[in-house]
Amino acid sequence: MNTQLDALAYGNRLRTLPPEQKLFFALVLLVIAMFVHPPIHLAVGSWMLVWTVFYAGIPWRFYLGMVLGVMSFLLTSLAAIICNFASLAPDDSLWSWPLWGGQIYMSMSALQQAIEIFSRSLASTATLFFIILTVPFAELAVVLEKTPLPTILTELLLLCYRFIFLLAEVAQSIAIAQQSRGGYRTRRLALSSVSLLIRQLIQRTAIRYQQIALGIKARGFNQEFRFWQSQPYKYSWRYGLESIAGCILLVIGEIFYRIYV
Amino acid sequence: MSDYLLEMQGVEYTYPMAEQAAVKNLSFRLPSGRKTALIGQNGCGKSTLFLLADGLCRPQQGVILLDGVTLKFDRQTLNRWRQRVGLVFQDPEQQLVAPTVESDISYGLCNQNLPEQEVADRVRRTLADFQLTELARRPLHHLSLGQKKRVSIAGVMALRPDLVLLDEPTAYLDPVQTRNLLTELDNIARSGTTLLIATHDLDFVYQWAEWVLVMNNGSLLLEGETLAVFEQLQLLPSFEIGMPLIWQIWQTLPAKVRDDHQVPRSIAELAVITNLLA
Repeated sequence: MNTQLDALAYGNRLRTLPPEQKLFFALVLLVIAMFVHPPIHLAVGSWMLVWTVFYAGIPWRFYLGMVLGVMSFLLTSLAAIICNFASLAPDDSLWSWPLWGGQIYMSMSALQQAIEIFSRSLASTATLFFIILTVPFAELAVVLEKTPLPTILTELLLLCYRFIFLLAEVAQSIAIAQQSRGGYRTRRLALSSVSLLIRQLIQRTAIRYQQIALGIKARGFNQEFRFWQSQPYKYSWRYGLESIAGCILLVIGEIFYRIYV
Repeated sequence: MSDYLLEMQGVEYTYPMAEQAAVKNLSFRLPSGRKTALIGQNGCGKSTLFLLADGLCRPQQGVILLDGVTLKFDRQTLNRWRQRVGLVFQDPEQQLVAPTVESDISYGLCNQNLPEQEVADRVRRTLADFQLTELARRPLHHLSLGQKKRVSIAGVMALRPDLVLLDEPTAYLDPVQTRNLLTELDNIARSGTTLLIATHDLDFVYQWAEWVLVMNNGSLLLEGETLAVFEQLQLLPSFEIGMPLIWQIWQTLPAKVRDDHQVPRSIAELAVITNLLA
């Protein structure tokens, strides 16, 4: 999944747009999503879907899987917001049911709150997925380097990004070796194999750390990780105009909603 | 530049907590501009020699010289030294640190505090030299092992070193990748860079190397021209390292044939002689 995310971020159709343009656009939408009402949240979510699936060319099944994955977590937590328990249900309760001498109920205000949380999360998640799926991590780090964030933070992020895949490869090769020798035949064996895999991974991480420390020194490490990256981006006026016009429309829509609803 | 680029005199090194020295009383001189191979059994100290030559391990005894200048272990000297001596590890993952191909090639250059324009120029030229331009913005974990190997060599060559140390460069590579790599190594050698390759592949050594160093138990056993070294190795049956296939076939030919012809250095040369026999 992670590798697929990464591959899509590197292969999407919006790759040539400057990462700053995509990030700024997404950040503006996140800010809008924080202050608007559910119908505008849905508009933000839908618009992001258009950008991610139609403009960037991310496979819709993959995108839907990601959104549903996050939303399933959210829906389970919404149940706790919608349903309440008290000795007496309040006046605005839509539904109540007696239980253990009290009442379990669903109130109008709780339902409105749940809808707002759900729609806001949907809009924010869609915006976040737009960033994840269209801006490769290395480019994100380059943008972060231009911000006042401490250099050590961006260096650590870059190194983590690089080595997460290395460790994933090692874990995969160990798991395959275990599988080929029947390591996951029964539940008991599987548990023991997983614990062995984790131990091996820790040991190999330590060895890998030593090897990489040597490798970095051999390449003249000079107290900080500095790289150069080409910037073959092209600002798109077409996408720029659409994003500006869209954001203005969202704000106007919110104003109308507040006036008339 | 003198005739000998790298020199070690009486070098000894024992790893922390180790009982035995990995390298003991090691002395040799590496000729400038020659394709040199370092051979020996597993654990004979080849990799340690490379770490010492790159200033990554500090010898407990002896001196290491580059162009007659002694290696000192202060940061400034080490930085300059590592600009001139490049080390390519057996496992490319060990030295690839940046997220993408072009950024990894730029890593060593950025460490030298070169101006950004020069870094960009050198990265682009190196990418072109190693036919990596199309992969420039690819993340390293999307590359095949052969491509990673090329990137690791390119990252070292971007620094324009005088000496490149390669530890088992053909390990894990398939025959096509090996052939491509050898072509690239020959190009590097032609550009005047001295290459020292540690390998177990004696067939490769026999055909490629001009000079050979043989290590045994942390010391230098033999050094010299390739043919001379293999002739001497033949006289040391207790040193079980094997012999190149071409050499073994050559030894089976009648003495008269061997007297009449020069020792073949390639399959093609050997084929010419055997065809004459037929």
